[in-house]
Amino acid sequence: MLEVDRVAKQYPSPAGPLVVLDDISLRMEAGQRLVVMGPSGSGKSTLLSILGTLEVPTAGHVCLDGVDPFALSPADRAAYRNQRIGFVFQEHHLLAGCSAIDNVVLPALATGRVTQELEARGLRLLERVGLANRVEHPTAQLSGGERQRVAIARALIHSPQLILADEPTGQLDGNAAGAVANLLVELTSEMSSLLIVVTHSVSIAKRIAAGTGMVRQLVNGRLEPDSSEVARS
Amino acid sequence: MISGAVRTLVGLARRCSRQWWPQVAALAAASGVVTATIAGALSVGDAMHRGLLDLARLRLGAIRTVAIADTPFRAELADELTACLNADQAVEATVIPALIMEIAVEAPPSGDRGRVTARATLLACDNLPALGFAATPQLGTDAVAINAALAETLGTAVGEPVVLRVAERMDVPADSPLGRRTTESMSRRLRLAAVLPRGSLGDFSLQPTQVTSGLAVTSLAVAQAILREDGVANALLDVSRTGGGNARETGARQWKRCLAPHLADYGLSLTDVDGSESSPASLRLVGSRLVLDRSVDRAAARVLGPLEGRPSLVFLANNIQLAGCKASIPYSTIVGIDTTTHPAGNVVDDNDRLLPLPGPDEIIIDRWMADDLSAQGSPVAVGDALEITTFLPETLHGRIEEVTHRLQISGIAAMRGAAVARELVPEVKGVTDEQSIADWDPPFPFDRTRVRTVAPNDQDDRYWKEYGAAPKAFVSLATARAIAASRFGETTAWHAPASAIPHADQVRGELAASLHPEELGFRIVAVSEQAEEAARGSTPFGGLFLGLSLVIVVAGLLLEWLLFHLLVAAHRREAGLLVAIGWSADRLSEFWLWVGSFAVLGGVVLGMIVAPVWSAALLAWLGQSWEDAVATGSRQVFGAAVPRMVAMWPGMVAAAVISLVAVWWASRRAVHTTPLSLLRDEEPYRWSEGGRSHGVIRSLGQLARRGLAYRRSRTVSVIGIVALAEFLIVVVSAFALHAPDRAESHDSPTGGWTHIASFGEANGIDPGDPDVAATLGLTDGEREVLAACGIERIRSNGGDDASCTNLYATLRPMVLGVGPDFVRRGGFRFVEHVPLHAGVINPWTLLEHPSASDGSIPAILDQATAQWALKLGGVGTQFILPTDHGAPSVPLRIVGLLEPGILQGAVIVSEENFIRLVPRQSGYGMALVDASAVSARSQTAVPRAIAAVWADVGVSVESSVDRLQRLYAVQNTFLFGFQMLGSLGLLLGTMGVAAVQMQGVFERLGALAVLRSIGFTVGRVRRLIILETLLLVGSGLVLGAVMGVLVLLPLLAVGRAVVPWNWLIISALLTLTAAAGAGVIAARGSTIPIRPRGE
Repeated sequence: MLEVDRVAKQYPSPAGPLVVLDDISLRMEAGQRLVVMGPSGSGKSTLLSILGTLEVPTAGHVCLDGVDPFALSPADRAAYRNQRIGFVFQEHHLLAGCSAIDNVVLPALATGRVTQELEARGLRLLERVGLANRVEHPTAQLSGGERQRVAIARALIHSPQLILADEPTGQLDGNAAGAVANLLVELTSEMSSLLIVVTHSVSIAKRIAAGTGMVRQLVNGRLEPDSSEVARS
Repeated sequence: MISGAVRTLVGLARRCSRQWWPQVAALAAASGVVTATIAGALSVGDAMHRGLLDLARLRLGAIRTVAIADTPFRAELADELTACLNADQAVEATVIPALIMEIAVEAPPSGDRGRVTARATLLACDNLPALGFAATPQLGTDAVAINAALAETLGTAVGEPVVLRVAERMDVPADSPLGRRTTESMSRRLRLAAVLPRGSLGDFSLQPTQVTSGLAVTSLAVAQAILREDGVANALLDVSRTGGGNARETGARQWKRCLAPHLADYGLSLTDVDGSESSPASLRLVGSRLVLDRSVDRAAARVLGPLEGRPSLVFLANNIQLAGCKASIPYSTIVGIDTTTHPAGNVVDDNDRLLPLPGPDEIIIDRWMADDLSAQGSPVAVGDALEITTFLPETLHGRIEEVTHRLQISGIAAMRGAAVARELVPEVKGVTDEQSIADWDPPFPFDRTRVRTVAPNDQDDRYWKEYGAAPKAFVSLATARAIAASRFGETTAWHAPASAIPHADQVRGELAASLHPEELGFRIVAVSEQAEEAARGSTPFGGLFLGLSLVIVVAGLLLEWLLFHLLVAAHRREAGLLVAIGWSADRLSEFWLWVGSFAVLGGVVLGMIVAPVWSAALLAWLGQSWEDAVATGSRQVFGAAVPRMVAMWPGMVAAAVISLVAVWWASRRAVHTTPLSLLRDEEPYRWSEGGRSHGVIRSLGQLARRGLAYRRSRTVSVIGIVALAEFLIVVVSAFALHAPDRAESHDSPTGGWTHIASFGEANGIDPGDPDVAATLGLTDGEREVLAACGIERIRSNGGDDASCTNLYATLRPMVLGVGPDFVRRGGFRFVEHVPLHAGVINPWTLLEHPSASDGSIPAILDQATAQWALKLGGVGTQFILPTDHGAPSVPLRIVGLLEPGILQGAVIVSEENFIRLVPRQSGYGMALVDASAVSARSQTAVPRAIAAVWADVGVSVESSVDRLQRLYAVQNTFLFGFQMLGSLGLLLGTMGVAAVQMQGVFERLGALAVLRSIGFTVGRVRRLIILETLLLVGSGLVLGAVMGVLVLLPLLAVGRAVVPWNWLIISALLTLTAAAGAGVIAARGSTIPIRPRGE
């Protein structure tokens, strides 16, 4: 379960503190999906970064399955991020020169070496995202959609409780974007993971929020009430 | 498992390193530079050491240990030593007798070439093949071989005649009145049978030296014939095939035990003296040096003392005069005895009654003297006072001085017994061996007009013919010693009654066995061990070059640091991803460290490949520089040994460690950026810095300056590298030395001396003494030139030259003894000295200060010699020099340090203290000549005139300016090396600038894109980047130059340094050009987008 309680984020500026997030509270159960929409500069990516522990909130608390990551030491927080959170970025952020499977198992290297079991899991994930025949291909030889699917497989390698996707389809064409969105929903559902997606695309928001998903708008740093219906319409 | 897949952190780092090869290769190159520099520098030291050792061994051939004596001994001593050594050790010993001495070699005029004379070492040996050199010549009785160096000097060729000239041996010390102050030479014309090439016997030298001096080789018989002494040698050469290690170590010890010279080998004789009516038969112990060494005296006391042996000391009275009267007797011998019942005969009066031993101020004269004085109108009686004029027992600064003593007559001895015992007086060549006193040819000032040799006034000659050199008077031994004892001894003979010695040979054996060869002029030297010790080198070249290369190492490390940052900066997004997926800072740091390590280790391997080449290049450059400017033959040392990997390992490890530390440090810093910044590939914007008011940017230059403030630490690092390199170049260049064109100034590094003459043999020749000058066979022109010269003779212990031109370690430093005239003249420049007394301005007078309470002797050295060659320290430092066996150890204390000058390489003490330090040494080893008063027209004749004075003892004459240039060439060579290495550091710094700028461009792509989007052309953006680069480098150059000049200010003020404008301008221009190039590379190395990356 993810609990976000009165989280705020401000940046210092010559003109006084710049408020990016203000009093954000949220509660999600396992398997739930959330789509965050909003205009540019509304704080969507900052919210995702805080949930992913890439940034520290100025105020408030975040708790995932009873663990407050910001109460942890930097090293423990990194381990927390490694084991409990999966990231999918707008840009795939794959390591050039490494193969698809290398990139998928990359999180395992954060704490040790890649075991055979993990490698097998990586292969299964690649098969699951439709890249069974691209396992050893260098990422440079993959298409944009394929690369994003590798990134999804990488995000899921440790079966994280929370998957954060920041414009995961932003650089893909319509078909590829839809396929990636569907894949995200299917896989997170299979793993009962929480999925939070930031997107500008209403169509992607609809796909993600279909069923039990929520869509919420972030405006001027504040999370508006559930707008799932708006999105679905 | 999928083959080739990344499964570990190391594997990932390896994979990424391959992927990021341009940055990794750049980092590896920087690491390679550091490795090659350190390993190469160490390899230079190792190669130098081996080169020195190889050369020293090459010069020795198969010779392991040698014994060299001051005076020739029986050649059979070699066989006796061999027999003893063979009985002692398992391996077969071979000891070869030889004559080794300094000589003059002359090539007679031939064709267009006039007579040429050169100083050389003579090696006379009958078993040359056993010495272990390649291609030894077969030499007949009329043949000589010379080495290529000597042949080149003489300009002679095989088949032509050469004359070998050997100074006549002087057993009597030159510093005693009976020592000769002129030297005659014995010569022989021989046919040049062979010229010994390099790499053969021609390289022979017992002293480790990089300079191949002249060498002449003959058979032993030829050298003996020249010396007119059959069956003699003065050196024993051990060419035994030893097993090395322990065998060699014990060699010198075994020699000391087995070397058992006979009395004759020491120049001693214990001979029978026939008895007469008034004198019983006796045995007499005398020595060829006239005065017996104190160690001989002690041995005689032990061996002959119990056999009723008695010592005596004879001295010459130049004049004996009855006090207050004119009556006098010239040139008489007086003997000091400790009993009037002397083995040579009793001292009795006319009634045959034994006379009592004279008291401290008393003298017994003989009847002849009493009668002669009476005949001159001055009858004498017991109680009358005599004035006895004698020479001082030792010369005073090379001059013989007289002194008068007043003694009271205590008895008159009858002309029998001791009074007629000629054996009381040792033989003196040119005196006691003459038939008539009129024929005397003594070494001391001799006034023939005072000697009565013409009838009817031929009393002196008649006495001589009847009694010879028998003493005319007797004093107590104590009185005699008070008058005539010297540092050479206090006894001229021991006499023992023959009746007490039934087996004279046995006593001779006992006496010889009681003597220690090393106390009597035998020096046993384990030359192979000495070679190894000396090959350590005067300067730790490895350390020196490491020091010289430090600027490159520092610049290389900073470059590594910068390039590593560039690598990290270029892959921020990958790092951001790793952080985002849960990599901790430590893990990421570890990852970067691995990536950096691969680059560093690759660089180390690269460096190890380059290091030998770098090292070989340094050695070749050093060899060429020294060969051309310092000493011919130096190339042999520098080029003798190829660089070895084993010597480079420490450098490699050190380079790897410091490079890894640099990378580790950089990797720790690299992970301190927030993950989001990494992911977004942007620098975190700091309001605290960016918000500072810098005013409005009004020009491209101001924009460039603002750009430099973007990453301050990086900017400072680059400015630091450039400034450091420039600083070093400025400071080092300021100390380049230039020998003065004219050497006349006393305040110059020549001390005002224009020429230096070094002698093959220490001698007492004083060209300033008219009597001596008259015997030298000089031409009128030479006399005229010499008359205009100031000549100061200097004592020398013949030790190792500790100047910077000698590559070998100084084992026995050269000590020079300067006389009061030199001290009064002063000159040279002092870096530092102890405080002078009020009113005294000449620091040289410090040498004449009484010894300190601890007995230490004041010494002055060249600063470089004190600090580097002898590693002593500064003013006030006390040290002890290794002394010859038997000489007391006396501490020395540095009272002054000289600027580099012609006296570099020696420890300078007063002449008086020199004698304390080196009591056995007699005569002068070198002379300084001031020819500034000689007309310009005659200047070229100066070296010839000086050479003519000392031609018989072997002399080399060098102009002070030439010597200075050789000395300066060493320092300037190193300075040039430093300049070049500093320039390389500057180049590296400039490469660092390129790296920094490229990194800056990567990091500021967004900002630069903004510039383009608002209308900057690509060219203007690139100009901005180039301007930034020039600003960066220019700041470093200015900072370094200003700091350098500031540091030099005190020295500039006193004229000891000069601002090196040429170097400053050239290095600045080159560096700025390189910087502009770096800017162009940085500007063109990345594509600047037309608009910033979108959100």
